[in-house]
Amino acid sequence: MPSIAVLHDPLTPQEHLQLGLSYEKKGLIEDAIKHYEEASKEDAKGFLFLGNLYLNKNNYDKSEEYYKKAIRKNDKLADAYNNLAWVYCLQRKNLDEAEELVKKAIEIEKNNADKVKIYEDTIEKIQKLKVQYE
Amino acid sequence: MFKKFLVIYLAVAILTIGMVQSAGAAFIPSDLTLNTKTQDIEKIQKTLEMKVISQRLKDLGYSEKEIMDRLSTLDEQTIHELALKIDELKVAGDAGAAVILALVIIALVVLIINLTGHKVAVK
Repeated sequence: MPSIAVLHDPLTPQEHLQLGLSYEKKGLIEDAIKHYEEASKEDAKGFLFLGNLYLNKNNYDKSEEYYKKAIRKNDKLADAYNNLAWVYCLQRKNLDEAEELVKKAIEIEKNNADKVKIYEDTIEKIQKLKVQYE
Repeated sequence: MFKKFLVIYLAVAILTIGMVQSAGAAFIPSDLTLNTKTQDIEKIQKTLEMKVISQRLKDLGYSEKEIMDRLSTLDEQTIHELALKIDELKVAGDAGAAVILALVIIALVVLIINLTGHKVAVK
């Protein structure tokens, strides 16, 4: 007689992110995506990590899409603002918007000096690009 | 001549390395967001894979002892491969019986709908 098994997810969103990251580093991209997607149901970092994964593959459209999803899910996720701005930098587009995004990231993480330093690097890069292209 | 080539090569290399570093400086990689070191991720992976397999075996009705017995015989690579294929894991069973069960469930649903005064028609 067949039986019905209810399958439980044993991992927390944080654990899905950790396992996904481990797989991504080993080149197991499909498996990494699966875990990031699972994490993204509850944690916006899932979308952020998907954005990072596609950015590492130079797929700017997909990375932009996922960073925007991350921000929509959690508007306090500063790294998503910074990385979306970085996607715009790499494409030399929406540079004014990119600057605003990073300013928002700085505002969110104003008490985290290490992060602020990285965000300021992004701002500096954007400003150089603006001088160059506008 | 060789010195000239060496100077040009070094100049290009330094310039390239400098550009790559500055390009990577402003992007926050996932490790940094997660605040995890690469070596920690390696260690965590095995623990999480064991957790995934244990839960799936538990869902399928295995006892804690059976799960422990099975997992203790597996090496790290097998655990890794099993964790990757865990979603393909199916309970061994009779496909015919599963179809009969599905038909019985559908028949019951139709019966309940009819008993409540509604009619089911297949067009």
